[in-house]
Amino acid sequence: MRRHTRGENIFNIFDIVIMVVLMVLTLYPLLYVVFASFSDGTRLMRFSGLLTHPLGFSQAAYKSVFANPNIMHGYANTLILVVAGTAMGVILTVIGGYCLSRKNMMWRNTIMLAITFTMFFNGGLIPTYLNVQRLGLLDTLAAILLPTAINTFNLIIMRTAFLSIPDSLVESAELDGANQLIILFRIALPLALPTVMVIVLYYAVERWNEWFNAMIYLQDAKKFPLALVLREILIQESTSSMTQDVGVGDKESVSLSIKYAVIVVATLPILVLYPFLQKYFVKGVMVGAVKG
Amino acid sequence: MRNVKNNISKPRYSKPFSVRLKADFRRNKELYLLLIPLIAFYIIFKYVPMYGSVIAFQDFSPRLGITGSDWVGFKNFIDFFSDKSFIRILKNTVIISFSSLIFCFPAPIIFALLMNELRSKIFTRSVQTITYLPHFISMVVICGLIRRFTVDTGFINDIIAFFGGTRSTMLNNPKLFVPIYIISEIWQGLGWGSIIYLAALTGVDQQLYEAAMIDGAGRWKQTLHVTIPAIMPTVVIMFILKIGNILNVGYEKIILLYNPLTYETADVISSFVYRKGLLEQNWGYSAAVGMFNSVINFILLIAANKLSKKYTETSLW
Amino acid sequence: MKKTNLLRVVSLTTVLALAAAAVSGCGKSNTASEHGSGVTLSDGESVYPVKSDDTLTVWVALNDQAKQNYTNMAETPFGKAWLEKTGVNIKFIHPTSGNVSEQFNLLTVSKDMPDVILYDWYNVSGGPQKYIDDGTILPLNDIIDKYSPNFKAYLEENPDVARAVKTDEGNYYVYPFIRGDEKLTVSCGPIVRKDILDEYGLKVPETIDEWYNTLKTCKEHGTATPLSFLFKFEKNGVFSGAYGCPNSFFLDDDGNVQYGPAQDSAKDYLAEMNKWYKEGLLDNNISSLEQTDIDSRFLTGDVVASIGYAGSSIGTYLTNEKNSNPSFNVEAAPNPVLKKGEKSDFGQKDNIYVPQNSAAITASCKNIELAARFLDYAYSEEGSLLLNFGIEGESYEMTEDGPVYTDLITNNPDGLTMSQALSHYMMLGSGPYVQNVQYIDQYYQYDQQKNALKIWSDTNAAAHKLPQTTFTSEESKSAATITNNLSTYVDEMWMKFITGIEPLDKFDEYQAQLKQLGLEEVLGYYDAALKRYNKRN
Repeated sequence: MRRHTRGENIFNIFDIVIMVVLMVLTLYPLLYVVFASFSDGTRLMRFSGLLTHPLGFSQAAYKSVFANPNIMHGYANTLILVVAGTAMGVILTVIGGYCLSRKNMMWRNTIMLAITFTMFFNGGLIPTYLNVQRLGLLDTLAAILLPTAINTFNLIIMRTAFLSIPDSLVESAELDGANQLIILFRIALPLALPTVMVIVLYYAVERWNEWFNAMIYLQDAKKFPLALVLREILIQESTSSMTQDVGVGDKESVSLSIKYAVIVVATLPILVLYPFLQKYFVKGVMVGAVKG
Repeated sequence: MRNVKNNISKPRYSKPFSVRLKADFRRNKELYLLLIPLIAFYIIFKYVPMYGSVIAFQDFSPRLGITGSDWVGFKNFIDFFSDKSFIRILKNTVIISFSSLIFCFPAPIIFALLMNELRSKIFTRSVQTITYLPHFISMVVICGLIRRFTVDTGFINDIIAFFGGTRSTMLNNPKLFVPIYIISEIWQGLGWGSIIYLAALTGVDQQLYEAAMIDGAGRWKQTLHVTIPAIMPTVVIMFILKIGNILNVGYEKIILLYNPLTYETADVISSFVYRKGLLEQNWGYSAAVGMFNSVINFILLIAANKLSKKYTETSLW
Repeated sequence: MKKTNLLRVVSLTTVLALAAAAVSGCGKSNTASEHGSGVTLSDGESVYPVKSDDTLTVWVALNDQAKQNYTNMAETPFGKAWLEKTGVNIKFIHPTSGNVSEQFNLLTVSKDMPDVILYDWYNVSGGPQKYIDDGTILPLNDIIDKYSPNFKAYLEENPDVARAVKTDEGNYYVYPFIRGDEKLTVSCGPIVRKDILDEYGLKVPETIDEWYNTLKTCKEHGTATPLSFLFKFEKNGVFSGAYGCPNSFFLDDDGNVQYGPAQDSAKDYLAEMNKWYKEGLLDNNISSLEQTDIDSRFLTGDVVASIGYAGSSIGTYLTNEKNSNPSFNVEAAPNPVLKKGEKSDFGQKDNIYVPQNSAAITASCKNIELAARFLDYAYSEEGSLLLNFGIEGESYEMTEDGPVYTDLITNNPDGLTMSQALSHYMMLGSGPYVQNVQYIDQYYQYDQQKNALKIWSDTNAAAHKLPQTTFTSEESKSAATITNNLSTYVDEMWMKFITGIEPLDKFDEYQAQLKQLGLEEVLGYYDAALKRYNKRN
């Protein structure tokens, strides 16, 4: 093995220091939310500044969050949306991305252009709503799933990954007479697996956070996803305050600690997903280790 | 098979359109078949409602619908261009966008490369898992924290005061708005944005590193000649997409951070339309502004794609 | 073989997507099928419970407090009682908080609207008359005549209200939310830390000079930022009102419409505020505050004076500090004036008719009579008690002095706050009914809150408040644009003058710029609208 040069050692230390600083900085928002959620409501209201620990310790906020029936419905609905939406999105995106990465299709570029076009131009809220209404999807979970089944951005990412697979591999399989699905699943997919996992993560997180379509298309509060329930609790006085009639604004707001508890409850489950997918991204680390 | 391919690759001279069409379909039948669900999706959910864009040329009222509303030609566009704030919001939007392109775009790439050089697997995993957290905290909370960090009695001012500077609320200073916006953007998006590059890094062929080492390349050289070229297609595509977003600066973060003292640098197209929308509910106008943004963005994207095709061989089409 | 496989996969994916659409579409129940079985009643009288098998759909925002425990109004004790007493089957549809206007607009787009929509029909774009003309909602004059005897009687007894709740063309368009007493129209104003003022031997300030001295003394005693408040409150003219230049349109002493920021006196106001700002009396972050920034420092004593609500400020503060800091005391201060002994011409004051959550009957309504009778119930004596106080024997008891909330509301055994408990038993906030003044005396549990109402109400604000005029749809578009431009510019310039970024020498330029932005034009619209309003009969 080659010995480390002095420059490399300095770099290593520098690298680690940067990473530690970034970790502290990026961990803080979550810590802040967690601290606030466990804080005593009375003391939290009196506090301004940056929390470094919970003020007192109280689980009262969590008790009232779990007493809210919407939270439980929300969990169930979100779970359905995330699982179904991610499965559908990933399947369509992988197949679509693969097909559009094949080089000898005459219509490939036309289709790509037409698809990219939709990232920029759309009909706007009302025609989109009427379209969903005509399809009879209003007030169903399908209204949230289908109109956003494919994310064009993800499709482009996926296609880019397939493009970098050497043509020779695919062509030799074609010569062997394998059909395209077999080539996709046997050859292309394993090579692009890290990107597929990125897409899985993107879809899952998007579904987890999605609230706008739910708000527009759903009427029955029992069908609301968690993100919408969360938003309803958080939004009450933030952005609306600028136009609100001042006199009518006299309403008791939800206590601060409850707001933060809701954020924790609504965020933790999706955070857990990452470590599971992470193993697909860390191959690079092993390369680095070998390099050393 | 080989022969067919060779014919296709230089069709311009050899075959008329209908013949090429047939040949193409015969050859790629399976691919087209597989694309049916995708194409159906784009037609049903994207292209069918697209007739709605015409409201940019209407005095649109939801109650009357598109068929019932009055046509006003380019009035909405003219109103927008002749608004007293137009120059200001366009300038601010472009400044924020370009700053974001210069600083926010490369940050996750550099971060991914730095992470790639870490030795400890557990440490790498921890860095990844923690740095992506801010992406999940709601914008209202993040902006609340930014305010608390930058207020005159806040943490950053404590440091400034420690070194003998004077305290000031940074968000009241128009000159500091863009830096605060950009730095916080990096803070929020660094870890999340790096994931795509990390995935690309895993695809780098290990043999290339070994070959480079045999050639006596140090880590810097390896990064330069092996790692970066390997993730270049992803970088280029992300860059093209970012160019196609240049006029889209989201309103949510802006309206949570700006105040009347910083309008002059902070007010952007989207926040302007947001304020107007709340008070005036002018659908046609909002649609016109949206269309203006889209046209500019789309043109820029096409240009970027063309340049990229010419120089890097990576492109969207 | 391989081709069939491929085909199967493709068709499966497509079919799955379509099937999902179809199945979910079928799940939608159709409530309108029992149409037409309603029982006709005689025109004048209403007998409750009404006997009808029809189901009405009502679109109404569910109170945020109630949302913490219920998903639908029909599940709340109040909702159950309302349906039972009226005998009407209602399906409530609730928009989600935030973005309500988007949801409202989508409702009016679809041809199949709910029967009744509770919304702010006064501030809809183009004005309510436009919605009647377009056939979205029904003019209610005949309907009220025939099927709403209680509401009709109320309108006849209260001609001022009747004038406010119709359009210039004379059409009633909603069953409105009415503040049943002047006392209910005031809810916010200046507040001070009485305990701290006492400690420094200071009185509650009344004039601007007294305010200055009070804040100055506090500053000398070490208060970090004596005065801090959300600047949007200046729309009501709290401090600016003393100078006759609230940040809004108002009626001058001759009854003409004026714009506060354009007044010459605004210069004096801004000069004074600039002085306060420079001396550190006024929060130097005044431009970028949020309510929580003020709450926390008011409680710790870093701020001694602010502007707040009787309920969500004074009430919340007192409750928060009750146990940990018993000496804490907050009191209302009168809206400041320039000369001792005068009354402010401004200060927060709502109109009697509050448009939020007022009920319109839509053109899609399948049983107009039933909807009218259902809504009219709230204006009857019995209905008024239900919407204001809930269920007798449960949420209130009838005493000689009128209805009194029970412990279930005021001291909830499950630990609910009063407004949470109220939200389960009444139409909290606003809704199509006449608000009872006895509600507020009980809702405000602290003497400081009750005093606050008296102190803040003691102004001439009513005489300077614009009545609820309506613009024609042509006027309204142009007026909205101009008003928006004006207020953005004023917000920006006032902050710059106060913080000293722009010197007050520029005040003339600023006034000229207001004119350029179309001030005269919009004043003309207001003038015309006011004339039409006064001609309403």
